[in-house]
Amino acid sequence: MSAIEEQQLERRGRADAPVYVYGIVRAGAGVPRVPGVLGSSVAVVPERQVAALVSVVADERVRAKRRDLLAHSDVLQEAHGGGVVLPLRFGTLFPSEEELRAGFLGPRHDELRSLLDRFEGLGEMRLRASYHDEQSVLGEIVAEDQQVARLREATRTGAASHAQLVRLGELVAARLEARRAADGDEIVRRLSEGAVDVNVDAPEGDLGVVKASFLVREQDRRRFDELLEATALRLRHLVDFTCTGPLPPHSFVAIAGGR
Amino acid sequence: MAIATQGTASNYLQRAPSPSGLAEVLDLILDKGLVIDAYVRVAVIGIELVTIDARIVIASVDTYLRFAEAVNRLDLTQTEAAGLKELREGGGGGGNGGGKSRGMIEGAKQAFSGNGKEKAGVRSDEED
Repeated sequence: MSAIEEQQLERRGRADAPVYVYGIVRAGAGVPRVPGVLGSSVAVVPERQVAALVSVVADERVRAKRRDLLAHSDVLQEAHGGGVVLPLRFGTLFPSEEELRAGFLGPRHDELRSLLDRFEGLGEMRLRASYHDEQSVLGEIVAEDQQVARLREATRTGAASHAQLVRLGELVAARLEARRAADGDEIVRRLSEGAVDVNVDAPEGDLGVVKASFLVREQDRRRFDELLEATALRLRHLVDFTCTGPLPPHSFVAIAGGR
Repeated sequence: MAIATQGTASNYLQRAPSPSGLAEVLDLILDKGLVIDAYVRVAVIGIELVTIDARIVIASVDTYLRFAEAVNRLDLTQTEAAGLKELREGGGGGGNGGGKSRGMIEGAKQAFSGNGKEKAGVRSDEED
């Protein structure tokens, strides 16, 4: 047993031990039976109608590692499987259980309860879409744009001037951006029809088309899936889609005074 | 139109019930979720920085030259053939009849790309 584990055991249950908070659930919700951060177990701190999912940790100077990040996500995912959960951003630590109640759960009780009501039966569907490869999307651009096609013909003969090549590249870059924006907008627009809210993030990488989260009602999930399939099918000659969920509503929760 | 990909992976649509890797988890739990400002935040260490690489702003001559080279290298005959094969395989909504009809495929392709702009560049390439 490591020194930290010994210390954890010693302090566990003590009122002054720091608590790591994963998220907020309804009082009486099941406790996730997956390992928490730093190998700890998960417990609940109830306050009237709401409760915090927590782990008691050894001290406030926690250094989180890769497996702790995964544990945070696993705990929330497991909780979400059993009902509504408001996920906290990774790494929130209260000095003690008492401080958690008096400084957060108590004063924010009504706000947290109404947030739980608001997110009841809702899940986040996280979507990433990217072009298969550069060739296929550039091929489309040349095929669709006469100006690009003409400049391309003119510069393929070998006698192309530097200025002509720059002009061609500039034009292709602009068309690619426009294409990316149009494809991204179309994807978001189509999938939004199956969602109650949407949050669009910046796409990733050179080939990224869109990264977005959709807040979807449980009873609308099938419709969302159908929209996703139809959209992916429509763009499958160009775009790869990855969709993860239903997840806790990470991208949609916010409280007054938070960021 | 809805093909039986429900609950299964196809080559263009992957689905997972929960985040599968560290990058995906980081994306969700470091930047998103409730933040309670007044309280301590745990230091995150021991993680190789998975830089969620913001797209490079396309604005340099070098980038333009790279794009010019990339489009000039394209084998459009092949690109279009692949595209048409995709369409014949069912993308065109009822276009699964062997794809012999050029007109139908062109129509489907136009529907795909959202407009019916010139394909002159492609045609002249095919004649090369």
